[in-house]
Amino acid sequence: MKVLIIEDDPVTSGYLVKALGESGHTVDALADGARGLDRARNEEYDVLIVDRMLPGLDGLSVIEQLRGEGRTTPVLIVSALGEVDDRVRGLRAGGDDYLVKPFAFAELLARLEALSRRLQGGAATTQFKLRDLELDQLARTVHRAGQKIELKPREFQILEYLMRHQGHVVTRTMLLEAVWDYHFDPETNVIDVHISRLRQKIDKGFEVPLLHTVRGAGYVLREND
Amino acid sequence: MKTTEGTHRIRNRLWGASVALGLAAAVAAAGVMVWLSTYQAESHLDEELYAEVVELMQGPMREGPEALATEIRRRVLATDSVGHVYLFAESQQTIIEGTWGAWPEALRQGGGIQTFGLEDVGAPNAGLSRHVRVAVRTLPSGHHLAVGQDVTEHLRLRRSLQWAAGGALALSLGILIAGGIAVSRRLLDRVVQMREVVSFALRGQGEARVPVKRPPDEFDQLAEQFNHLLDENRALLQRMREVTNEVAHDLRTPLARMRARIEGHQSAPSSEQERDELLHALREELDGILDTFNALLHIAQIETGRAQEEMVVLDLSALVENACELYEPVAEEADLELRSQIAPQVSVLGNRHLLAQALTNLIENALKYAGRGVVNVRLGVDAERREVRLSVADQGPGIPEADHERVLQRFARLESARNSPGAGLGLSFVAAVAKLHQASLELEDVNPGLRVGLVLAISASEEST
Repeated sequence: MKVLIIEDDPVTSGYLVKALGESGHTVDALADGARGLDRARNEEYDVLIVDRMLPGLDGLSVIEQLRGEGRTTPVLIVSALGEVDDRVRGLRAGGDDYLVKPFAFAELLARLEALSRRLQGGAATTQFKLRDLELDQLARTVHRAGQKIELKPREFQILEYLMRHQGHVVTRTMLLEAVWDYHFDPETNVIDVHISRLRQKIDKGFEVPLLHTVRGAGYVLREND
Repeated sequence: MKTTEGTHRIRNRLWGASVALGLAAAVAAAGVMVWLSTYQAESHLDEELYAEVVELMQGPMREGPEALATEIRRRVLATDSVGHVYLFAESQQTIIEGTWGAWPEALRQGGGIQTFGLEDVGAPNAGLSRHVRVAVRTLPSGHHLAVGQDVTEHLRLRRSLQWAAGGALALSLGILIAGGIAVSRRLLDRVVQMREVVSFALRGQGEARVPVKRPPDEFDQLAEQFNHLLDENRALLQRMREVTNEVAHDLRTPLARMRARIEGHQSAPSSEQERDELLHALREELDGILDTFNALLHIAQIETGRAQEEMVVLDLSALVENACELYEPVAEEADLELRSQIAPQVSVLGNRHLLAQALTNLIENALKYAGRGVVNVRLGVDAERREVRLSVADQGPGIPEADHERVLQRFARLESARNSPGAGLGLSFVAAVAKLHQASLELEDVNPGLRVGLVLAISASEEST
């Protein structure tokens, strides 16, 4: 994945370049809005990370200009402005996702990967399969090894989201946003409880566990641990 | 704070304006008085004189100069002719008949009307005092006819009237200046009073208030609002002071802990594992600080009303159901039961995200403090009072009645709960959300346990369905 970071704080930017590089991604970083916009116009990236408050040209203007020119490169906005209306403003300007500072790197990485996949047009799929686990979105059914599994509506939504992002880490915050549309983190780890219930239903009694916990990050649906 | 030099510009303007207006009115009144008494009266007299001239010309003169002379003699001799002057002359030197034997030099011939003093002209004083007004006409026959009247009294009256007008003018001017100064000073003294109170307040001496009289006039009403503003300001300052102290305490304590930990490691050699533990502990501490900080910022932003823009008519039933669904397994895990009783299709005007967060706060609080038993979430509609009531009740130890007010404040955590987790911002967040929605927040002892209720107004669209 080729990533462009437009962020003026050298520590944050440097850390992201290093950590994303270690995760196997190619990263460019620029510290001001105008130069960032210029680079995004002239080079192809899989995803952009844009800070909102930038010297020269602010992040939202950068995104608006890119969108105005018909560029659809997915954009993850990172910002210290974290109220709901800040988020709404960011998404309205053309951002695809919004992450409030400070954030965990795992959160950022998970969201970046989700964004780059969204572009590959996985949205049209309605049937998902992982090993012997099958989910039919239209029929609202889940089978494991040909056996029908009864899920509550929310459990179904969680599984659907995990299936859609199979092989990639999904964070608790991402699940809260996608399934409950909650843009805040409750104090208790509510998601953990829901995941453990889901795990009871889809993994218990089967030889190969599919739903794994990634420590410090979230959950992932995949065959091998 | 810098203030402009004290000038009396408004005071000067006020009394200047009142004096100018009063002066104009007085001058106008005096002018009308003088005009009426002199020119009006004079022109009336002139008309009379002309009328008599015309009468003499058209009457006796038609029968010849002799007839006119006879008539004039008759009029001169008439008992009621005192104060009247008649002259009928062929030329200036030869008087045919008249009050005087000679034509006064000051009296022009040929026509017109004039007033003159008798001493000045040396005319014989035939029962006349000093001033006469005389109309003169030259007849077609070449004779000169003059008809006059004594106007001394009239002039005297005019003069005294003019004096009276002048005096009245001077007097009213004096009253106006003195009154203007007094009134404007009295009015502006109230302003000065307010200004003094403000400068006290600015210096941090917030006790001073502008005195308010009963019944209140416009200035008192202004003063009342002004005092109210000062009270609000003072309360705000007080709250800010408290919050600052609390923030200082709740943020400094963990920061101090972090610092102590780091110093401890710096002063003594530590193993790899110890350093790992340190980093882990520091991160947790930092996350806690961030949570507190975010919550504070969040509340502050709600209190400034920024979230007002996001208000929409929303399905509260779905929102409550959603939250209950999220927490049911959590409750079960903690050996509690989350029961919900939700009236269907309840719509309110609100901010979806904030209401959801407030509700999850209440549910989390209930789960945290309940300890045992059942947590009841209830959404009901009181159609009669056009209210929606959303309540969360636990069966925990509850909160003593005396503390109900206090728990809604920032950082308020009851002594008994000091050591349990949570920054103590939960309920004050809910209170801020309630205030934003113009909802009332009710705390109630339900024995055992606490019920927190949020009472919202039914939205307009709800009534129509």
